[in-house]
Amino acid sequence: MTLHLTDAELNAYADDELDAHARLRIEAHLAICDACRAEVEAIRSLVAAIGGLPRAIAPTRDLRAGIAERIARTPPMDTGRSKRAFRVPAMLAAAAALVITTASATRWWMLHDTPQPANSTRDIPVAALPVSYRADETRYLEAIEELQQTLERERGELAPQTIEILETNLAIIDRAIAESRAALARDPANRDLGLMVLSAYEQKLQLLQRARVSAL
Amino acid sequence: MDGVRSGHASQGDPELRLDLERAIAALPEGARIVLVLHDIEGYTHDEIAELCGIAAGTARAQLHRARRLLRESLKP
Repeated sequence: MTLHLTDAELNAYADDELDAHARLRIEAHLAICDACRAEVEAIRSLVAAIGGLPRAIAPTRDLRAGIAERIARTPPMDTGRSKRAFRVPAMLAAAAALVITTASATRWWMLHDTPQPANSTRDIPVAALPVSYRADETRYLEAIEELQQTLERERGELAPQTIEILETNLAIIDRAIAESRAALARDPANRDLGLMVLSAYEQKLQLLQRARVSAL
Repeated sequence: MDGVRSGHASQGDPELRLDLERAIAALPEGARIVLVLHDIEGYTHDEIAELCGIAAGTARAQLHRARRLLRESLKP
């Protein structure tokens, strides 16, 4: 009977978290075990797929409320140890949610290699943008407007924390849209700037869609 | 590949991405929170442990559980 690697070993290897000795041991097993090799590939494929998801999103509905308690309620998969006491106060749980939002915004700017804008932004008229982007922008604006109207009607169904995170992220994305549109208006031939505008709209659309799902 | 669709596909195909988002949304909360923090937001296990007030080993276990559940739910 062949002993297969544990979930912990498979994930640690897939995440490249092992020291040299452990890595060699795992690789020796993988060299002779098709099943475990397939498991590693499946984990890596899944992680790649998850990594492709947008970051500037509210991660969960009412995440702020009792984050540690809810983690505690979910039994860990493969540990024989007794459950640890979760001692984090609600304030830290709230901070965790805030960090997620802030980190998302930070990463957006890092990903786009663009200086973080000042607070004030100028609204650039559509006519100032390249013709090739106007149609795409119009489609995004229509979809966003429709979603925002729906969300406004269903506002009562959303948790206050969700609304707060949503509005914080929307403000960040709106600022990004305003700044990137302004940059595009100054440099209409810059394809990267055009993609940046559309990317910001896409982020906003996805954020609203996520909020819409939360309201259901 | 154990029936799990590829990362490249999820980035390019809105339907696959939506399937993945739905599967993540359906995870138990503890597993979902840790997965989002680690695999989407890029926090380390130690950072998640500090943020959430849990042991790093617990964060790891929740992450592995989340991935296992996702793979099961994404099988065709």
